[in-house]
Amino acid sequence: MNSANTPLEYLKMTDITTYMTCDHRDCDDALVEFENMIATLNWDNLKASWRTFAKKFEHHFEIEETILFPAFELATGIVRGPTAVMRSEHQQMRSLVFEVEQAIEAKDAEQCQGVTDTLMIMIQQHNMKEEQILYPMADQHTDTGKVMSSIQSTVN
Amino acid sequence: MNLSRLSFDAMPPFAVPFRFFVTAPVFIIAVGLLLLIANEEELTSRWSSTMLAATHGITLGFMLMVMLGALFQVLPVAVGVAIPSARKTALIVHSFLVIGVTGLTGGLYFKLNEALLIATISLFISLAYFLTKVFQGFSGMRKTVTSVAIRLAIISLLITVLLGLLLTLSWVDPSLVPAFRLWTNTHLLWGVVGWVLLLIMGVSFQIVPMFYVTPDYPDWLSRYLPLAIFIQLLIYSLLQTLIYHSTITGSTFNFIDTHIITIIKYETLQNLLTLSLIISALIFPTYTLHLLSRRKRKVHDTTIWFWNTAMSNFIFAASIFLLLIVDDPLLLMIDNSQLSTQLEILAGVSLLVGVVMTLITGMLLKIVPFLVWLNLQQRWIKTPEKKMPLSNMQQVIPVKTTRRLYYLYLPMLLLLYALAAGFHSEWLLKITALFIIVFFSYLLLCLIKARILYNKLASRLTRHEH
Repeated sequence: MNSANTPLEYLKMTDITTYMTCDHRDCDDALVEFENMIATLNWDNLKASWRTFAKKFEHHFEIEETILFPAFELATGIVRGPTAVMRSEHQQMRSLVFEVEQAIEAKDAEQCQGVTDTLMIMIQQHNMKEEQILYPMADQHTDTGKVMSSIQSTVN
Repeated sequence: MNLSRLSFDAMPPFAVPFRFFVTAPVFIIAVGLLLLIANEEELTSRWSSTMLAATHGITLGFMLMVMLGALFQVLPVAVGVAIPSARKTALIVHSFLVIGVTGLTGGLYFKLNEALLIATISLFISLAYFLTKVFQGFSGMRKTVTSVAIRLAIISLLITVLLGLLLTLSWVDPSLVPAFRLWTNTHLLWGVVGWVLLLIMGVSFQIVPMFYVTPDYPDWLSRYLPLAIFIQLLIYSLLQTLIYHSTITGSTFNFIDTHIITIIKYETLQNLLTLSLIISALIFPTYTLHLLSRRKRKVHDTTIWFWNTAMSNFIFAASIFLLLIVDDPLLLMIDNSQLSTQLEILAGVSLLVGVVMTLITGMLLKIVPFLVWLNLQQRWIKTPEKKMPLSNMQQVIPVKTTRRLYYLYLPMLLLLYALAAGFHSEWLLKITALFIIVFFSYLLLCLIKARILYNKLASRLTRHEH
């Protein structure tokens, strides 16, 4: 059995599904951390926590939109299929991210809570589609090694 | 590669599941009214007209109603089974179900045989039509965490309906199907364990991790537990076939003959099987409680209270059933059949109200806001130039309201337990009935408000292309 010593080595030996699913959990955890903090009403901490999440989240989207989806589209020839749906859902989630930012600015805890909850559920159902269908298909049809090394270059 | 498996567009219009959801509380309110005018003597027997009308109003009018509505949503979206012309199918299934339940509860209450006959036929049409449509799309079902449980739940519904039909025929004319009432328990078992429990399990596998951000149910549970339960039900039915066969071919002249001994042997096996069924079923609530406790989100969510209440009641109900089976010979020995009946009623109330009704209510409070938002979101994809009118799904049913609903629900449940435990008094019955009426009217109001909000917001996303 190989054992990975650094995250980057781990990145090299894994497939798209495993890595991207792991990244989903990472984003979830960051969002949960923010959500659990809302009740404290400590808006400075909240802003910082939100920034951590939003950065991770946007990075995940970028990997998908600039590396994974194009590779998928190229390999399968399907442009207006699942990747198009995923892209439009990304746009919707970005608009929810923006709404949370506005709620933080307005220091409106209730709105913060509600939109975060909505975003959380949207993320979960979006992730399910990706993890159960899109990623396994990407592993099957694209050059996994090449895609993974491109992803790696964005982490460096 | 099969891209049609991605059924993002297969979602039915909001009106399809909602039609079922909004009708369900109406039947419980009607049951509440029946209880309000009932006298307490009518509660002492399962077979009084009030009790029969009440149990059918709850199981068919509320539970079956919501479950069918949920399937219209779950089948295409979660497992890829498209229901052809969903709007029309839903209208037909729903209309006959409403006629059926109204006729059945009314017929049982006022003892009108004609109404019962019409009701049974309507119910059969509703379910047969639904099942035909569903089986048409069955081959397209894709493998997901829920597909095993949902497939088996639907097959169980089919078996429940067929046994129900034979039971009705036998009741109309016993010479058609002799002594078929021997199948009553098998029919109930397929309905409650096969259909209700497996469907609840299937839906939970999908929505517990999604709504509450818990880890997934493990594979062995989501795949093999439903299968194990289903196989046990099949073996139980096989034993029932043997018992039935021995009974109708048995000689009526020899009091102690081989037939009776055979039957007792089979019945013992059936009892053992019921025992193992209860134990396997217990894995589900235990694991769900475990998952919910491992939830990372600390934010208040009233629907989790409903989940926890339902799952704890599940363990309670199963324990009473275990007690009934294990202690059966003992109870007979001390000749305490009254205690046994009391325990049966307690187990029944606990299972139907404590578990199923609690869970369905909790799910409705979570799913309806989600569907309002999801349907708006799907419309928004088509009109991206407009602003998404709902970014906070908690606006559909506010947290304050769901909390208030739970605080009404809990005393209602406790009062029902008190009645089931044998505290019969006129005023206890009236207060319980009032709680039921108030709670479900409030729930109905929330659902109607959600629908009005949806209509208002959806109209903002309509493209005016004139």
